[in-house]
Amino acid sequence: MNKPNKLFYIIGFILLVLLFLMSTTDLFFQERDVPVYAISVIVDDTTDDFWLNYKKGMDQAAGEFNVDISFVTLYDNSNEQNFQQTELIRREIEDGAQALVIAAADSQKLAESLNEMVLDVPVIAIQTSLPYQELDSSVLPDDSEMGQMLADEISECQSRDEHVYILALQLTQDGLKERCHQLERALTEAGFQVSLLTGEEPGIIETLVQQVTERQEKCVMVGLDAGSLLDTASCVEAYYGNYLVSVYGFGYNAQILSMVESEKINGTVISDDYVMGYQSIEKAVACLNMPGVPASGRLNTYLVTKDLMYEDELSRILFPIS
Amino acid sequence: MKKIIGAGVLLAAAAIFWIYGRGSTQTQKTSIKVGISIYRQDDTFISSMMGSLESYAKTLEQEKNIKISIDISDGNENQNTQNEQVERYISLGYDVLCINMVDRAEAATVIDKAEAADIPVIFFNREPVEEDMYRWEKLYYIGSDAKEQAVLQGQMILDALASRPEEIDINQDGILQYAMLEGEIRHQDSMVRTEWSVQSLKDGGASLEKVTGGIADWERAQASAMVEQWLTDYGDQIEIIICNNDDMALGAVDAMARAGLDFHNIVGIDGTPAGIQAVDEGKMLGTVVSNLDLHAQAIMDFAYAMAMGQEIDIEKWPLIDGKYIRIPQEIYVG
Repeated sequence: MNKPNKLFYIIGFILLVLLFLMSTTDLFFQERDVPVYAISVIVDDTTDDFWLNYKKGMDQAAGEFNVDISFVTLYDNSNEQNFQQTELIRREIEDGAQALVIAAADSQKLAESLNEMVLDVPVIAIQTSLPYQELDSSVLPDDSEMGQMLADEISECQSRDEHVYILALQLTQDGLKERCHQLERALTEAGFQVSLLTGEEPGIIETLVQQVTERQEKCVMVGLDAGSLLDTASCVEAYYGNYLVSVYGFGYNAQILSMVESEKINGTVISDDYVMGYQSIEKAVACLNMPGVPASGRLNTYLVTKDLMYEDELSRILFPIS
Repeated sequence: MKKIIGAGVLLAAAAIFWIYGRGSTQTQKTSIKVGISIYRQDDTFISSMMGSLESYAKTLEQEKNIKISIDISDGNENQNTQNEQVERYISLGYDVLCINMVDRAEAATVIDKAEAADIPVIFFNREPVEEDMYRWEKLYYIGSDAKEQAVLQGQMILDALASRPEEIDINQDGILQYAMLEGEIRHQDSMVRTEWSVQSLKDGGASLEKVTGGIADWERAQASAMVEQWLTDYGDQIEIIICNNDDMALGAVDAMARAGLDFHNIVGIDGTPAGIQAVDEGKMLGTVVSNLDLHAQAIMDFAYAMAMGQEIDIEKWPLIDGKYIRIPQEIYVG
């Protein structure tokens, strides 16, 4: 082998070694560390039954923005929900949460608790407003529009001599109060007689439905949130049949949609949970990354009935595919 | 020489500190992360099990004073999606994986990824092939014995046939004309349940004639549509509908209700809340209850023990072949 050949092989060998080292080690190019954001989502329910579409949106955003999400539900439905949420917030921060997304069980009480705590992480409100002084952003349904939309639907489909009963477990969320207020006002203006029935004890919806149906009069029952709607519809179906009672409400899950399809529920008004899930995480990441507060958003409102539920736009919202 | 010895001593000291440091952080664990991937979220049996699991995890969390973070992902019946979910859990440093395989034959992919990251895996409900279960020591399977379920289902029908022959053998010809609703085409449980429910009926001395059958992918809606068609095609020839799970049995119930028929010779497997309710209401003949809460508890107890680096309580959960937990089951006829 002559000299230039030797040189060629040596240089070739060195180049190969360099290429190998460049591609398999960090000796020459330091690989950029992709930050993983730890974000905790604390909701006002004991299960995720009514949060499945929210979680789909949340997971989609988590994948895109490299977020490790801790989705936290309450331990039980006791009256201590605010205490539970406060303790869970404390725990999540101690465990390293960099941002919090919160659906308050009691808007006012939780805001008071948060105002007393010194939180140095961004807080995003979902589902209901949260009058916390340091709130960074929110993604909320338009509760006033939701109340109005359902009132319009009831006005169109039901007779004015049917009494409207609004059923709810408790009115501790500002959003629910707003929704209820608008619904009552619009229905009263439309000429309906409206009663609000609430209670906190277990099985209260069943008791309320029983009290109303004992009167054996045609009436309308409205579940003010998804849980109340499902309980109301199930009680009406199990004990009284739907021939006397028309059932409406707000929110959805698979069971509620199945009841809408079988016309055990006449209609439900919803907002886009998937978008709420996605945007809440997106905003939390934005708070961590950039100075300035991302704008708060209101979600669009939709009416779901048997005839409408499989239309393209509603199908995409009710049965989202990430 | 002295320099070499000095460097060696320094290296050894560094190694000891590193090992000690790792050990001490393990003992200080105050939270664990459990990544769960299920094959399909709208499978009633699985979603009910997940509800029970989350509830049990909260109890355990309060009992042990350790934060238990659970993330449940829906595989959407797509093995690639599930593999991505597993990769994500691994990259986020989850302590243990609980996997309800989309495709039981693809478990090796999940196992290899988990083994490389040293993260234990608990498979549940959809059993990987035996060979895969022995690829690594940190693998377990929790589920019911499909053959036992099917034999119990057959026994339930035999019992009904013996005690109320006129209700089961409707045309009184001494032959049980049946229709079979099967789960997925390649699913092991589906094949075993189908084979052994019929075999146990034969073993019990029943004369059988299969009128029709079909694959409804474990789904209520598919089963309902299929039975509706059978009612058109076969009319009152069918004396009993044997279903691989409760969801499909409920689909058959729906079809009967739509047709306005008073037919309740329908049997399922799983014992989902909706299935049990249908049995109580007389819409189904019976089901085989595979205790959901026990499934959930076993998965969570195993996950907790492995994440915390503790021994598995084999008194509470006796292991078969060092790998398998079989959840007991029973006939439910209301």
